[in-house]
Amino acid sequence: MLSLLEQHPTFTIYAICFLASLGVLVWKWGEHTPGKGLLLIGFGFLALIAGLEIDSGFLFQQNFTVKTWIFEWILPKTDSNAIQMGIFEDPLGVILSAFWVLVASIFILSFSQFATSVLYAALAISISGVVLAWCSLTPWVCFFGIMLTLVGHFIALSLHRNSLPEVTSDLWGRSLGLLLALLGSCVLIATEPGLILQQVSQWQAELSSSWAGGLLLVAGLFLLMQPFSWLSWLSGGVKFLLPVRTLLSQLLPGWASFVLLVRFYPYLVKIGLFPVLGWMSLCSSMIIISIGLFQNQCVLSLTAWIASGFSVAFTLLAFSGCAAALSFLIGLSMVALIFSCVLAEISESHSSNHHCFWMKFFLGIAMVSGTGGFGFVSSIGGLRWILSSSSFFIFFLVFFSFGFLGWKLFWKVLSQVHQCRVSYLQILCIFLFLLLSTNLLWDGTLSGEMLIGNPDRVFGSLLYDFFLFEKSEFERSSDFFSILSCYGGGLVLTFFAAYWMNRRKEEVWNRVFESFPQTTHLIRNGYAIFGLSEYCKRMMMQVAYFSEIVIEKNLRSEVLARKLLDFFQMLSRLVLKFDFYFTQALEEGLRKSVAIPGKTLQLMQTADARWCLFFALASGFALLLHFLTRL
Amino acid sequence: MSEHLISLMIFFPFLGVLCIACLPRAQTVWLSLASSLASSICAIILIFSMQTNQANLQAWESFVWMVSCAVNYDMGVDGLNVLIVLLIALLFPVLIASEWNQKVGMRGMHALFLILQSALIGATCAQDLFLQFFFWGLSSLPFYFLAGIWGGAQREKVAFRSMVVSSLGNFLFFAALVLIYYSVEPHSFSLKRLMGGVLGGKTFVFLESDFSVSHVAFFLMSAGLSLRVPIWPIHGWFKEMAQQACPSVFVAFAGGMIPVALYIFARASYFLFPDLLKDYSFLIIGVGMVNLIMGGLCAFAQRSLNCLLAFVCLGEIGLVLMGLGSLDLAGVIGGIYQQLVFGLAIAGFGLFSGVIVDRTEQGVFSNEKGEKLLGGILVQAPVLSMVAGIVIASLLGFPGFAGFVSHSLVMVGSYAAHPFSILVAGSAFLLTSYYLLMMYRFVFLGQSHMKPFQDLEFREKSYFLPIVLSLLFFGFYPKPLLDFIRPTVIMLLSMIH
Repeated sequence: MLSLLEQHPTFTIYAICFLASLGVLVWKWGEHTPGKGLLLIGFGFLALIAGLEIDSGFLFQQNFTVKTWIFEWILPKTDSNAIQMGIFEDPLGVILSAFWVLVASIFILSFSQFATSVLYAALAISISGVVLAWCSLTPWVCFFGIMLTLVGHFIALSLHRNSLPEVTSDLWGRSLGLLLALLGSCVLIATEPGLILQQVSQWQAELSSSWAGGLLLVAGLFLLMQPFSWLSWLSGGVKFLLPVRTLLSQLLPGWASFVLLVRFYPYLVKIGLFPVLGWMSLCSSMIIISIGLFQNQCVLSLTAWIASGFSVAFTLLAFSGCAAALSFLIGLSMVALIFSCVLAEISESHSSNHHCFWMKFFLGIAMVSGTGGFGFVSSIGGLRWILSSSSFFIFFLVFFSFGFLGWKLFWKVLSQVHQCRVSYLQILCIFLFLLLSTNLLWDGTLSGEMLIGNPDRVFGSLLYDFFLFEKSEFERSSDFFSILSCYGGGLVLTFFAAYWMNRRKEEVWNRVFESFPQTTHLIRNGYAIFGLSEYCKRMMMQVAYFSEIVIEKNLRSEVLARKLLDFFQMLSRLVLKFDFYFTQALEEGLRKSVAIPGKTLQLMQTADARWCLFFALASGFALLLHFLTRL
Repeated sequence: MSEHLISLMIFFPFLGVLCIACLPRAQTVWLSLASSLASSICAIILIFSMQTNQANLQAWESFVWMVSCAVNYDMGVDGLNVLIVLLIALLFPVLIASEWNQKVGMRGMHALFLILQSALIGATCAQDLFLQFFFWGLSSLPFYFLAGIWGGAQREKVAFRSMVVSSLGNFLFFAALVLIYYSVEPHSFSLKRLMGGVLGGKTFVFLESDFSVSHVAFFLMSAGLSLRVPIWPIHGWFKEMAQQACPSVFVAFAGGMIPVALYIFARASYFLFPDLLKDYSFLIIGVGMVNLIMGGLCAFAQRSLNCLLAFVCLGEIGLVLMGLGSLDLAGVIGGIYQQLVFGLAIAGFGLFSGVIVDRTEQGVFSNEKGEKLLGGILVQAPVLSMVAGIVIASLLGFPGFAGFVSHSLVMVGSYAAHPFSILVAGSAFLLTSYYLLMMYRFVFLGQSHMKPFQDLEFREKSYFLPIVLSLLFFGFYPKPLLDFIRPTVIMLLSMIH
């Protein structure tokens, strides 16, 4: 038993199942026991953290050993196409799982006054999904994790009746993504038996299958992160419980999908999909940023900023590797949560001015963190991107636009923040979110390796020393300084550009909206993507009707059936004629053949021929007897 | 006793029919359910008593039936048909329970269901071609009455049409049997004797030309079975049946009869024509792909639950054919597993749409302008909505549902055999996900436009339960069933390769 516990992540598995079960329980019966939901889910989070810590050995100060657990799910593992389920706890999985449990706990603290038992349940199910995804040893387990996060997302959305258009659009987009990713994995398993993620660097890259499978997988995962043109967030009731929507609809499904991209990264580079697909996400991020810039409502701007952030993170992954993408995504997620909480407070409260200074202060710091400011973990993403990229200006443009949208949002929110009413607990939660996005925590340095030789290093880097991501170094210090100054200049520029556009007496944006109303309307509505999709749907319907009408009504009912019917009718007429003449002839022949013996018999019966017949027969017999006796 | 479980499975429903005929009307429902359940319990005992990792036929029963024609009563179960036995065992008690309150001719309906159960189990377990044809032919008769007596206004026309089509199919199938019978010496219908390419190289003369027995028999048999399974474009009668037949009858047909027909095709092709399968696997996959994509496309345009169900069936049949034609271990296992999943999911779909139509008197969920005619059932009937959600998730092949196991195996196998097929399958999946989710939105989500909708009663919950549990259990833990299928498929593939 003990050896079992030492070798397998048993506690984690049970804790994930426990949390998901608690989520289902609270969802089903939470409303009957008010107040108990929070307690149960809190207990579930605690159990999950404890499970992760016990299994990784942190709690008992043991050496960190990677524990794995794998079992045959579909077909025995000796078969090349076997689908196996497995959990493993490497440093990356453990830390990011614990990170999300922590974030969810802080989130519950900051948002407890609005939350219902259904929301707690949705959160528990989603978090168990994210943890399952980060600890997955095979893609199939990760898909389970993604599904759990989506279930949580839809449970949360189901609370609001106006969220139907969003649910519909989102349901299809996410299902499509999941199905494509599944299809990609099915193709990949043909070339790489088992698809064990722990051994991804040893996989063979066979060109056609690997490429096709990888492409489907990446496309599916990318779709799950709400890129352009799946703008479901643009269509629905986004004002509804903004922090919950941000966390459950955007961040957690995105993070659960991102796992596979990070795990598959060496393989995707080997088969040549990365960095090629990075350009695709680059375009997506630029388009979403432009949509976000033209939004009037802060809520939609924030949602667009998050969606574009995921596309930027994908681009970072493709061009600069896992460390850059993950660090950027951490910063983005924390800032997204802070802003969504603040915006929720603005819309909920009326005319108080409690702790607004601190709110404004932390919002400013948060946006510095979200746009890759120095000292925050997202800066690693920005810097690594510039370092590893050959097309510096294009990437700089994207980063600048992303930062510009962020700061635009900040100034917009700041203009409304005087109405807010927040408690010190909420300020503390925002502070904790900010703390989780600092460079010190993730990289061990105060500046984020901005100083040559890293004199500010406090402890080892989680990203490079613990997660073992590859690290690219600057070759010359002069390059470093020029890039650093360029990067810093860009950040400052975005800040002031956004200030100039938003804080003047007459907003520049308003003038743009008035000057180009149609263009503005087009961009604001997602480049008419909904109209286009509606048109495509109608076209498909037409094709479907056409095929049905052609085959079912015309070909079968009209052509085939009519011709067949005509043929059978003609055949029937012919047979009828033949039958008539044949039976007539037969009857005539029969009549004739029967008439003579009939007449004879009739004559015999009427006694006209009786004596003649008697004599004829008698003479016949006499002759016969005569000859017989002679013999 | 345990050696005669298959016979008992066939015998109990027949006994039920006799009892229904003799005993008073009041006891009909309980009698029919009891006899159907008795047969199902025998099936479950049989499956539990079977050895896993065993390729040969188990629970073998054999005795001579017609000495002069070498027809034997050979019965057996192996990996190829064990899931069909399980499907029938699960399906028919559910169907009988779903018609518990049937007002018109309940005795007749239940008796016909029982005859159908016996016939389908007989056709599934028979290991003699004549015996199989006997049961298979028998199964078409109850359908004629079931479809002709209970259903919509056009039911008689539909029943007649389906009877004509199935008679033609039976005729072609029987012609193939006769050809096979006379081509071997000594003449035999026994699958055991005919398996392993015995027919290979044999010819017969017709109009002074030589014809290969295996080719002609294969095509006759395939054509015969394809007339009883909706294969695009010969599917018009099936759509009409979906519209006119009552839900339980359609479910019996789509969820029971079609998997059995596909099984007979698989058994016959793999046992009798292994050489031909290699040459014509592309054709089977092609037919599967056409069914999948055309089923998806046509479903896209449907606004009625019944028509949608018919085209979903078409797509699912395509998936089975793709798996069976892949000649890859994973693909063939997936194809066999898909028959079970398809039967269960279609049963779930058919029954929940039946409940909706029954309560709302409305089977059309949107009008020509795309406006909702149903909706809001989720709020009023959460249990029914959950059942529908599980069925749809399984049809879409989401992880954790039975559909995932079969879909992923078929995809893996098809890709290995014909990489192009995965593109078609992928496109079809996208279409499927769209129209099923759209249907869910139109029927279950949003605000209600109709009178109050009552959730499932206890009786309805109890007959949905086995379907839902099976879809979940076989999705989470498919290993025991796959252990039955795998050795048989390995043996069959070794005969081909």
